[in-house]
Amino acid sequence: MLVESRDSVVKELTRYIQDELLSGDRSAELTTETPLLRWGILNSIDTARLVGFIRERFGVRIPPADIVEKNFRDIGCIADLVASLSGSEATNDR
Amino acid sequence: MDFDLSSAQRDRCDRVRAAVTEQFGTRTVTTDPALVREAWQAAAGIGLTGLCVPVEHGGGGLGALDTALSLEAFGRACPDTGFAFGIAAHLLSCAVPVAEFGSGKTAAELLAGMAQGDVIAGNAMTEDEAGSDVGRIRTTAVRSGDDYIIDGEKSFVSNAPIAEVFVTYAVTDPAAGFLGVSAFAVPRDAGGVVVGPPLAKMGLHGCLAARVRFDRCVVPERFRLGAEGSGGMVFQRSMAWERSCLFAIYLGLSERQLRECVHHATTRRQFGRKLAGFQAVSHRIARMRQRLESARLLLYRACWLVDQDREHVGAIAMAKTAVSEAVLANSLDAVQLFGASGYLLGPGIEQQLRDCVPATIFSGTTEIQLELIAREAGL
Repeated sequence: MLVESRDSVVKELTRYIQDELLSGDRSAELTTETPLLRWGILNSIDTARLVGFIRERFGVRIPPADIVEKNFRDIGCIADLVASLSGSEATNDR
Repeated sequence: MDFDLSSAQRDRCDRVRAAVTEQFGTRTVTTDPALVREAWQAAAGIGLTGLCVPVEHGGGGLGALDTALSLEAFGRACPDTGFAFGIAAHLLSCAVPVAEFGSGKTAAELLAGMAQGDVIAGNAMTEDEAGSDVGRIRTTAVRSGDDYIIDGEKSFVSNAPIAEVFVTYAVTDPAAGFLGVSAFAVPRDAGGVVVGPPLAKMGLHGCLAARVRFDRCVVPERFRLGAEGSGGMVFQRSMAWERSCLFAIYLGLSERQLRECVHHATTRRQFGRKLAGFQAVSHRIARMRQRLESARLLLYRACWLVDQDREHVGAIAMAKTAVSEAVLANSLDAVQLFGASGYLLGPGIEQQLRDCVPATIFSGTTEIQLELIAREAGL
């Protein structure tokens, strides 16, 4: 079960994307609806890093089949994915 | 840890090597499409065109490591590296994604044909404006009823002049960035597939390549590989196999090259002794051996990780980098060791160098591999 609340997951994802993918630019207005794919904020290498971060930080493993547009469109969608996967896992790899 | 091959693996390698030596051991490179197709049939008879294709489709059903070992034997015994490369590309960048992401009768028929070497496949990803940055591809696939209409031009498709099917990637959802790409297996006779003249390259001449244009090419949905939008993932999967297994051909080439160098150094005499008696020569060859062995182990480990279904991106990137850089450095050393005869056409040493030059470029440049290694290290 995911210990963090959705808000907390959103906050961590936002911080990670700002720090790691936008070179620490905190002035970048990143909301839960900023279109990450359309704007090229997420490319294939950065998405792989994000997936790795999610596995390390939340213990949630995202299967390749779930790496699709509707799950990575924006931070809100990613947070929803993390919540749904952690709910369905009996144990998480930590 | 056990660093030995099993006896089954050793037997398979010996069989492949013997069969390839018999069929292709004295092969001179040809670019005549009819002769190349004939050679593909002979390779199919040895099982090379279907090594990792599932058994139920007539393939060998081999995993990554065993596929690599067979390709290594192929590269060792066949001096036409381009020919071996073309078969490996057909297998790894085309048969693998069709097997893993194709479905139904369409995929089954394609795979059976590919395993038999009747259906030769070419991978069509690269475009003029999209080399390392595959996210920049501009080929589109627009939905039209049960079909897609594909428009665009691919700039470098290995096997294109003789291919019956093209595994290609096109944008199906422009708003979805890199997750808006889909993969397709496009039959050459789909209509609207225009294959350009063979490209003039530095080496790997036994592999014919060309530009391929898709001109309002209508492709039924059943030829799509994987779900819409998962083209990126399909490509990454094919690259995992290609970056780990294909380079085994170069391990084979290098082993053959190294033995030629040892033979040369132990038979040619200058200044009253064998070349090998000069440390400048023996140490150069020792360094070649060290490079080859370390690259070989990285490649085997990368293949093993793929077979174990474990995280492997960094390991594969390191293996690909190590093998490609090792074979290129070794080929330069071989030319130096052979002196004048290393520079002349005929003995084949200069051909080995030309065949190794693109290894640090295709399947993801060294620059991209280092980027992957750095990211995995947390940088």
